[in-house]
Amino acid sequence: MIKLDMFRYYYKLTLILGLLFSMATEVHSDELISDISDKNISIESQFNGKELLLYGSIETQGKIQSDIVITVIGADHPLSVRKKDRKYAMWINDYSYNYSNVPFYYSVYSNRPLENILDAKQMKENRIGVNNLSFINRSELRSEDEKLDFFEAILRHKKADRLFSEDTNGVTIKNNKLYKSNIYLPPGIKEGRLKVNIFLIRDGNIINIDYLNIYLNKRGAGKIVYDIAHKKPLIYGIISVLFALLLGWSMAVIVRYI
Amino acid sequence: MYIYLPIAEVSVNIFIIFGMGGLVGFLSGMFGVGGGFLMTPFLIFYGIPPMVAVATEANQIVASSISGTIAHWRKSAVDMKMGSVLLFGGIIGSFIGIELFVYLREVGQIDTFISISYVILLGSIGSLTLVEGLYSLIAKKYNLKIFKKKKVDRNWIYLLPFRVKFRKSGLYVSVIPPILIGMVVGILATIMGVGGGFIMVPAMIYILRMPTNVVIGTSLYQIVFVTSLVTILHSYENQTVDMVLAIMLMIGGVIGVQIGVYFGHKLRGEQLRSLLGLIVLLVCFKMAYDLALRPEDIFSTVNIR
Repeated sequence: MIKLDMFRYYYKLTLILGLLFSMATEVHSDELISDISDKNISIESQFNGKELLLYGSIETQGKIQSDIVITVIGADHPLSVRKKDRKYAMWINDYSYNYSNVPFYYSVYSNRPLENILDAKQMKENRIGVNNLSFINRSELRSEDEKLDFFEAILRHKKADRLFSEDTNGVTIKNNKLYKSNIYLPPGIKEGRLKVNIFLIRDGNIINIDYLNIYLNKRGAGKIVYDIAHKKPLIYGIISVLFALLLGWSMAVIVRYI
Repeated sequence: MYIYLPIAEVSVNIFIIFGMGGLVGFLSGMFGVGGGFLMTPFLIFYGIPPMVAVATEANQIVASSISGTIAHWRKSAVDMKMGSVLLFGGIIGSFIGIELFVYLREVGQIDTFISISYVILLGSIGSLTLVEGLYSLIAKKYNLKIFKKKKVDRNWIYLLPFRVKFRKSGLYVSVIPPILIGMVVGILATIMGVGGGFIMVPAMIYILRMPTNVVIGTSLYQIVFVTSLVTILHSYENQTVDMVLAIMLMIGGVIGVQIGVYFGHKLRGEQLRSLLGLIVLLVCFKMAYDLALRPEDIFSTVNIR
């Protein structure tokens, strides 16, 4: 929670600084108005990924080219990363580390390569770019090299499931006024809120930030099964058994009369 | 057509799942064995998390064993008393098994442990079945007389205390051996998602000296209750029973069994046994190979609940 508050604090700080800066150079403020094609998405058992259209306008009188960076961040979830080692002629799990704040989903879209838009410090502070995420590890890692190995393993697996992605061609800006981007949600995404941050950047400085939310809701039989299994595990177990007994019993009866 | 399994949290092709249920059902019908020791490895090979494969397969066995029990019940081929003693051991074994399972899950070694258990079990059953099947084939071809051990009426178990009369089986024997046999089966059921008939049936014939006509019905009777308990324990402790997957497997299995029984009558016993032994050994080698092969990625990530 402290970490989250820190980010909020940073957002506010950069926003105020950005506004002060823009007020100092130009009298008018730079507006950023954004919207998304679908804010409430239901995930059913046949959900096979979805693309959303994020669009908006940049209101500015300046001549300088604007940059847009969009981050979409899901809720943090605890993750265990295990390393296998060869022991007794088998590859078995050797040791593992637990991370408490890996976002379940993270994607970033920009109109050109991130390093050309912002400096490292601002990217880190605003969680822009997959490599600028930092994960809290509950126990001490053995060495710096290992820290990097485990960090890269998280990124590799998340990217393989398309739950982490970076698209430096993902935003198109028209006439320095309109922008649009396609947000991709992969099949394995979990329910919950996705926080969308749209950064308006000019001359390497964040001038304005707009916030949007996307809500993902699981629906259908799968959701009911999952909820009962995790909230009432004993009842779920009994139902599974009763169902199997009923099915097996009826099969015995049917087979007898065939 | 893909469907997302709510508990396994993977998308599966429903035709492949029905097909696997049908194939294993077919093999069970043809060879007269339970399908658990083949179904669980198949699910793991397909990409179902091993913990979910084990728990869900236990749930499927509840359905297939109740059908079998009813069929034997009608023929009055169930020794309730002996079955209940075996069940008593099975209950103890299931609780031991689930403790071990949860411990191994917490230290991150459960997947490896399940695989190793399968390599050992399938390796021994497969080679015994294959050797025995081939031996009878050769013996038949060259008209050899198979050496049969002279049946001893009283063996070492008759020296044990707590003897009880089992009227249906016509035995007066100590309850210790059946309780121990039941326990082993309970542990195997919990850790591997098998019914355990392949261990219980020979043990009942060779150790307890039960008459063969009640052996299968009695073992199925025990399996119904043990796998029911195992399903509930896994659901309660690990939340790994996937009902959607279980239902698909049950339906596929039921159809497969009927076809398998039909074809089973057309093949000779020795050929059948050799073939089964071969299939079991192939699955064993695949499991061992996956353990020994360097994985593409030595890191793995697991969501913690």
